[in-house]
Amino acid sequence: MLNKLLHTTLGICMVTLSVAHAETGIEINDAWVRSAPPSAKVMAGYMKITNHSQKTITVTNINSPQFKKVEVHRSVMHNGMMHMEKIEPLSLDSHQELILKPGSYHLMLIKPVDVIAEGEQVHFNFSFDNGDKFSLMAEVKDGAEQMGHGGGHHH
Amino acid sequence: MFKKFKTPLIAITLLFSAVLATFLLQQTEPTPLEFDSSKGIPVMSPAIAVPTVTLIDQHKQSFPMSKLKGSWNLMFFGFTNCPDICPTTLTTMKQVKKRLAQQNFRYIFVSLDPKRDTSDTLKEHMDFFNPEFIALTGDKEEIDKLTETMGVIYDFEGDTSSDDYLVNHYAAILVIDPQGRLRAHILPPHSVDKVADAITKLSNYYGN
Repeated sequence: MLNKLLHTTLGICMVTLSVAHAETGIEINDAWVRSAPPSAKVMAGYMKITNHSQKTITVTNINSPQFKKVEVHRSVMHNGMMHMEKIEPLSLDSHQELILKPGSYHLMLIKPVDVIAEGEQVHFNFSFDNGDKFSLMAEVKDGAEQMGHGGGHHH
Repeated sequence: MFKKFKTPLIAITLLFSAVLATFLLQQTEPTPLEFDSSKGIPVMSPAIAVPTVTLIDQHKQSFPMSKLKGSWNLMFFGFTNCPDICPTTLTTMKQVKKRLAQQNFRYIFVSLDPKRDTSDTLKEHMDFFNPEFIALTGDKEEIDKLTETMGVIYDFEGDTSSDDYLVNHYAAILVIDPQGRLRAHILPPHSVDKVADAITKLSNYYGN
């Protein structure tokens, strides 16, 4: 218990683009949020999440002070229609790399507290069941560049 | 005197009409353009006429579907509360428009959620993506006439009397020719290359 608490406390870190517990658990890279019209009630966040550990790790919470709610969703084609599937809970297998990208897995960012413009940063807090906790900032951009480089491709 | 020639005259007229009809049919419907099946760009042959439906654009102007005539159109159906697919597709269409800037193509977004998507909402949305895009909303009955003919299936998920519901929807980009007919579907996933290539080939092949 004490050990876990210590791990959690030490685990809290904050960098702009990438956070990592490369040896023990989760790494998050390339986080960005797609800019949206000022009245948008929903936005989407994308990133790469890697589980470096030998165990399955599950996300226990994602939140942002700039949104009322953050959920993990996946756009998926079903009976000819594009559906949004809520992924709850999101688990990553040992050594799995999950890419959240347009048209696939994404963070659904519900009800922004205030208008968030291109160039601003969105602050996310992630908690995982191995005790990892991250705070990270994701830049708001239109995503044209991200989509141009591999958008629509599957790896 | 005239009676003697009546039967052959009718026969010749019929034959001529048949030849003319065949010729005209060939003129209006050439051999279908085919894309590699892995591309996901089914071409309609013959093309399907867009129904006579009138919607309202983001400037609150009436938009009868006859306005689609005169140039090639890329049409996408969605809703503005859509976080991933619709902005992804609109961003792709914006990049296609930029790449094919010399071409006089129209880029059209049709809302499947007229309850929440008013002309004002759509205007703000298009001002963000590209103010030259045309965004349409209107009566649900009119939208449904359009979606039924075009094969755009959709349904609502969640409580539509609240503000928290989603629209599951067909996510192809539809290509409408300068005669106002549905000519092709561009199925997702949509890369800029795929969409730009499809509309360029279709418009070159079928012309105006």
